[in-house]
Amino acid sequence: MFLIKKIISSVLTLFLVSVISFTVLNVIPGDPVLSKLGVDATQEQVVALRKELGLDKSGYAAYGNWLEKSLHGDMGKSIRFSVPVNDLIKKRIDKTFKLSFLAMGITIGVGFPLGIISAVYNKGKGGKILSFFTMFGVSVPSFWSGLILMMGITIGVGFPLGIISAVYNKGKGGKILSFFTMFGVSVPSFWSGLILMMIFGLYFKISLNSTNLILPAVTLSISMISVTAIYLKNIILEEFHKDYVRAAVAKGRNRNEVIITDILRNIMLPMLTIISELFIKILAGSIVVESLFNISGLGTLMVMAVENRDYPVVQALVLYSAVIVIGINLLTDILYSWIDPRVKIS
Amino acid sequence: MKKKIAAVLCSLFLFVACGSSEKEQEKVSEKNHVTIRISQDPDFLDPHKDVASATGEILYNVFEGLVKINSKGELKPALAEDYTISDDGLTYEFIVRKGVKFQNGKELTPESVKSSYERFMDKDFPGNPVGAEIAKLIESITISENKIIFKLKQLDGSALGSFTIGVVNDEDGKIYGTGPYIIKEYLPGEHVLLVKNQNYWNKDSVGNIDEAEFKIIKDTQNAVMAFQMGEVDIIHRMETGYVDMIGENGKIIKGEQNLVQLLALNNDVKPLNDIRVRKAINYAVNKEEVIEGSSLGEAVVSGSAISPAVKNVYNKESENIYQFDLNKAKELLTEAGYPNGFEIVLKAPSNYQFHVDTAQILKEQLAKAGINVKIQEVEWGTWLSEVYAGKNYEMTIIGFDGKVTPFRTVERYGSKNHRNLVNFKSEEFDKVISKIVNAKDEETRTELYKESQRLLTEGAAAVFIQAPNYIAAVNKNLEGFEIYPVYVLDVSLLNYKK
Repeated sequence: MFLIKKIISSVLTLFLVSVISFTVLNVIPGDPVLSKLGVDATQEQVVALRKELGLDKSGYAAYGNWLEKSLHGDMGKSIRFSVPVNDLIKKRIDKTFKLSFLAMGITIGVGFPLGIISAVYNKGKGGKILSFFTMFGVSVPSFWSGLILMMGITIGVGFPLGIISAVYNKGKGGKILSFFTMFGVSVPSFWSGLILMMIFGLYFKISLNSTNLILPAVTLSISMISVTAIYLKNIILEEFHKDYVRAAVAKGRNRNEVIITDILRNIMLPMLTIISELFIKILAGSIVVESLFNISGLGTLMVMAVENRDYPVVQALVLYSAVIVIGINLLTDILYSWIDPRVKIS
Repeated sequence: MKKKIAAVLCSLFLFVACGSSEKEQEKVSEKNHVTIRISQDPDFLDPHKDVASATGEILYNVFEGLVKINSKGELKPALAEDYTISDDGLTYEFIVRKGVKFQNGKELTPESVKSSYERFMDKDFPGNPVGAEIAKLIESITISENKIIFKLKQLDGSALGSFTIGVVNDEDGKIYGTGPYIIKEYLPGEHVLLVKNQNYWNKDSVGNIDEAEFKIIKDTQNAVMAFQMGEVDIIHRMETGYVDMIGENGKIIKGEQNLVQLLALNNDVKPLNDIRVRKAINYAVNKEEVIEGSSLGEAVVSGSAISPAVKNVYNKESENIYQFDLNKAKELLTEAGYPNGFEIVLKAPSNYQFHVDTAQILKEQLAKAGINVKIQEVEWGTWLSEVYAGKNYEMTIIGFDGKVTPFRTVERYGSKNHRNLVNFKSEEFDKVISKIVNAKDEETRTELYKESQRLLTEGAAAVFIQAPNYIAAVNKNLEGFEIYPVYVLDVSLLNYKK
């Protein structure tokens, strides 16, 4: 019963999503045929192409036409690129998914332990430093942290010999300090060296194009790590006040042990929620990060499609994203009852 | 700690070093690969449909017409061994070259040429302007032995230029050309990859480039950096500002360009519907100063819609019609009833930094005449639909590039032409351009072209500002790069130094 309800509401959501995106695309200024043909086409050609693409029909008819085809799995042909939308997406989907899974892995791998650690050491100095960094991570937008990351690595590439020799020249006491002073030295020359760094940065950007997705994945996960860590910390701290924890501690069990054996089990459900939300957020964030690192995935495709008013491509991407989001939510619901049989999906 | 830092940095350095050496090895593989930057995706990889100048640039290497343009702008026989034009100018006879094969292996015959022409002459075919023009003109196509004969409905002096349209062989919906390069792959948003045609009929004329990759890099700055890293070999139509960033790996090639940047004035809206106001704006613009500012001096003043690069028909005298004169501008404005000037909106296409820069300079210049310009940057897709197609604007800046025949440039300003961006309307001008079509000899035609340019400038259809120089950054190991007077990038001329 639950499933049937869920499916009906999913279908309804998808329908609404498609209607809304179709309307929005029709309202914003711009014309896919003009975007493709530019300033040299004759009127006849514009008309003929419009006819060929079925753009001469009214809004309703065009939507009906699109809906009918998409129900058969045919998402139409890209106007700008003249190839079937599904082929376009197929060629790029693996990069986006690779990037997302990598970012997901990093986020969970770093964010979960970080959240637990900062909950455990909440009251000490360590906890404060951690929460400073996590707050920092949350507030920094990914396009900025990406740039900084690119530059940061280029500093490491551009000045490694200088830094290393400086580190060796200094006495034992100022090991770390010398590292930072060296850093400080390079900062005044920052502007003159900016072009140099950008070159290296671009080198990375381009080389990362096809093979290495680590830097973009790190960029994508920075803010996600922080969100995860903070959320996890808070729910763990909340659990501390619950009776079963207090009872366990009163019985004389070690606090850390309680966290691992009792609390973590009890917070499985909220953790599952985080993971599903994370995945959705990472997919959305990939639009920015892909453009930043020039990765030819679905994010850059989306940007190009919007710029060119390539309706079929935008429609398909929006619809597929909606399907993914709904699918993940559905899966989470089902997993809920599987993890915790007390929860009934109804 | 010390050792750890050192180790991390060393390994990072090594990692990067390894990465780059691998890359170089790839590059030095047996194949001669050239990467050419393009700024946008092609519109159609089909010579009968493509309209974007940047697409024609690529397709020149893949498809050939009966005649072909060379770097001097001359039309030379290509798929036709020779041709004759009858004295009345109505019959064109082409001898179809023997031994030419399409890239799918099929032989080129007069029949295949005919069916290629019939392909785009079909009424429902969304063909490009070149095709549309010749389709309108052709009365009949006949074949006799190795000849293909075109009978035209009426005399058209620039008809030969239209026979540059590519001859294709349509097989199962895919089209094949006869050119020196074959399209191997097109990845939207990434590149168009061409490989050498081993069966090309004129193989001796082709250089040693095996693969030409037209890589799509939207941003010029990114392209320049990729050039510095050796990942791009040619950036052409580059903005002047980047010349100094090219570095030692490249050489700069400069030349005149068949492109005119203009300040379009919407002749239909107030106060620009008054010719005195448009003239005043023409007087108030100091073109030399604009060239210094937006092109860093790398441009020539243009007095008309046709670029000074098209020497035989450019009307040099049009430059003297308006000499920069603020007093005259103010006088004209007072006469028109705007002694204190007026406010006006200039919609600049935001993706063209060159046009946006020009807009800034014009704003300052026009302010001196009392005209208060407000610049509104408009995204390109919006510009095309609102400004270009919808003509919903007062002022805008755009560059129009010239085609094989200058007629395509002047016909824009015909009062019935839908591409008449400025809404220029002049019966006299319409008459002159209709005469160009029917002109019997070159001399009359040239005179008419000059006359049409004079009318345009005197009618203050727009402010024709400058023809920016063509600037290309080319890998210093590449030889043979030549500038064409139209949008062509001829890969067959390129050679890597041995």
